[in-house]
Amino acid sequence: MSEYRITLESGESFMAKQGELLLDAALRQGVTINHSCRNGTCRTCLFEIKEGSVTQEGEEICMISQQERENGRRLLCMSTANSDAVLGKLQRRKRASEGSAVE
Amino acid sequence: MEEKVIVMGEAGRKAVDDASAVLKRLYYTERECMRTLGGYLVSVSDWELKKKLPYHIWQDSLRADALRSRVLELRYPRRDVDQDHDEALTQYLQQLIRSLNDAELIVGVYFVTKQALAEAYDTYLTESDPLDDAPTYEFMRRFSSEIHAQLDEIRAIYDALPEVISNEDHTRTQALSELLQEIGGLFGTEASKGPVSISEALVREPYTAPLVPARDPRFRKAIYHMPPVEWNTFLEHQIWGGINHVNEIWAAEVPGTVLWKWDDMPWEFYLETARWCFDESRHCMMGEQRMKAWGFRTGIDFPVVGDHYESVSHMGELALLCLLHDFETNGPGLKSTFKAKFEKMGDTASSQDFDYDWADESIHLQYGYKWCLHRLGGDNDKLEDLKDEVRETWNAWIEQAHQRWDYEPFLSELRQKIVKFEAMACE
Repeated sequence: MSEYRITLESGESFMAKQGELLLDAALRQGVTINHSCRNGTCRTCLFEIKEGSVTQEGEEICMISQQERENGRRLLCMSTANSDAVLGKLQRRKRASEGSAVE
Repeated sequence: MEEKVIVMGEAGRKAVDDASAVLKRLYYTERECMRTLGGYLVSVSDWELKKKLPYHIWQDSLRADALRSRVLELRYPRRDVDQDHDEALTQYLQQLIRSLNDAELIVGVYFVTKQALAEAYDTYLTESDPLDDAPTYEFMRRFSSEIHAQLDEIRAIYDALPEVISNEDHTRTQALSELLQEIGGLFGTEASKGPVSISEALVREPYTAPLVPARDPRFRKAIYHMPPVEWNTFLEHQIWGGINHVNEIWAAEVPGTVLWKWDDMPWEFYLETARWCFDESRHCMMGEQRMKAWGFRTGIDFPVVGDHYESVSHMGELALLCLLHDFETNGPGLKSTFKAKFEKMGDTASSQDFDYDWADESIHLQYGYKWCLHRLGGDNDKLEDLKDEVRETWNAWIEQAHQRWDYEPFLSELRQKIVKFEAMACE
């Protein structure tokens, strides 16, 4: 069975088996990811995929819009990896009234 | 020759179409009582009433949901269940929120309408067939006793209201009872269809929710709720955390306000928002229970205000809901940390409270995201912008409030008590 390396921007990383939910994999290996509901509804574990391919499972029940998915966001409690991946915290989008993006 | 018909057994009691028509009226009445209580919550002065109503709002929503689901099982078109209500019944229900004080709200919603609901459920069960309509029986047989329990709880609060003690007035009770009778009661009659004239005793301006939430007049005046200082000791953390929890009543008032203001939402919104309202009142009561155990008097020994609500209410209901949603976005991280910290220090009462609060907030995050986005036409960017805007508005408001008030005399008094508690711990 394939296994993928998932790296967080903090530098921490963990391995995820094919089909394994990324939050479950992280917690199993002692990597802390802020989370709560564990069923894709509270959005606490919303991340941006910087590199690699990650599938959002259960799109129909998860509280994530198509707009967000197209922008590379995923809820880790309900996502699986298809390759090695790098995950980043959400970058605040530039507001129309602002001259530059603010983090 | 005409065939002679022989019928064995009892005569039929209620046809499916008649049952669905009555159940729809009862659903509508429950729903509007719930929305009325939600809308008026921010205007309620009495502290005991303020804490009690969210529980009843939630119970009302569950009864309404059971009735609505049953109507749809009875060959009733889905598109019609939330519309085309009897105009006269609508007119009656619209009077309920036009109350001048807590006592008038109780009279209209509880002593007239809920009393009539309890009687209507008893009548329905008597007049319909317990086998043919068994699915209705299964839930409805609990409704009357549940409403009587609500009435008992509210009666105790009502009797202690200052406006009742000084001058109990039965004019409104009588006028609403007469109006209800005129429209054929909650069951209605064919003759009751169409608009009715409203007696002078009931004529009032349409209800407007205040921008600053009402607080019990017995409470001492304050501008904001959290002491403007960092907590240094675990004891301070326990007490500051308790004050913060009690003041979560604002977070019950926000769902209450949108329950009332938004009258065109899918049913699921009302059901979820009623639960949200109740949960936040539970968080408030969790804090109050802990503060009482320390010997603190609510609103006297620490402030109870509506500072968060007040800071953005001028921006409208969506801004209010969005501010609540934004605060809850940080909830899981904050509440899980509190749970772990209190657990480690051996304060299991507080850790348990935060544990359940954390679970509740996981649900609320779903509600907040879903319904704010719904109001914004599904545009996630707009939601993020609005969250930024209300957070900035709150930050500016509280910064200005800190300049206006130094939290005295509450801060000195709280610190004196903390010194006493620390001395007791050393004995």
